[in-house]
Amino acid sequence: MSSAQRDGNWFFRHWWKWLLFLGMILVLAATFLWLPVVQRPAWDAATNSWKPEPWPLFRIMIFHVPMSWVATIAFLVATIHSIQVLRTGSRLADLKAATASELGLLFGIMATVTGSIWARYEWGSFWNWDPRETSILILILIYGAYFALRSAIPTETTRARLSAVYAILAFLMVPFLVFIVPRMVESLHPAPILDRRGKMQMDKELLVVFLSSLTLFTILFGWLWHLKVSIVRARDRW
Amino acid sequence: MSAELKVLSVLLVVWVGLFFYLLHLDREIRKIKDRQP
Repeated sequence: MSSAQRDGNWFFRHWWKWLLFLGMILVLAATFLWLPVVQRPAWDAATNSWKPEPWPLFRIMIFHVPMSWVATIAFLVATIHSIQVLRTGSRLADLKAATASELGLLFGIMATVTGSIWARYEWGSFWNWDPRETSILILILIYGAYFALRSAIPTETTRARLSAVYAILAFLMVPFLVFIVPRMVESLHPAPILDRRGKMQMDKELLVVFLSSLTLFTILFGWLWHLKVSIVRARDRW
Repeated sequence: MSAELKVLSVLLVVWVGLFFYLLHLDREIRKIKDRQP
């Protein structure tokens, strides 16, 4: 097979990457150019009444929420592979778990940064020790310690088993820190996207862009995860 | 240029750069795998 033919096949075999590329450009363009600016009620002291006010900061939500979602998915993937490490002792499962944890940490930090930018304009400062901010910080520290643990153990099998146990215990904290604490304590953070009835209160256009962003970020995570695992396997020849 | 357009331009540049870098990595890995017995 010639290299031109191989390149042609390669292009068609990886069509989903081009779909991801175009999809993300469309989401970005729609967020900034197409979506109407969300209006929210603001107190007008002059007339003593609530009046609608444009709220351009809603755009951060289209990227911030998918980043948090991907972080949670990544930690779940890390846990599943950590269980596999304990069951089979697989070296590949250990690599997959560590890679998923790395990406979860990366997306968690990105969600925190985007949240802080939002907080700067909405609450007046980048960091306010709001329950949401505090819980994501604790989660980042927990997964940061996972890598400290990995780097402290030189023996490969011991490292795989101990970090698998740690990853499973760390994931037990995820539902508590991400879903329970922010709902139990008074917070300035906007209400969850899913309300108590499990429905999303959003305009149709906003919902389409938001769900597209959520899907594309999940695909991006899958690609990054697969790439990182393949890089390590190619580098170490296994 | 409005603030929205500035932010959009920066994010588009970041995304296009990241995407082609990932694509490049993908091709390099494939080449290494093809060379391996």
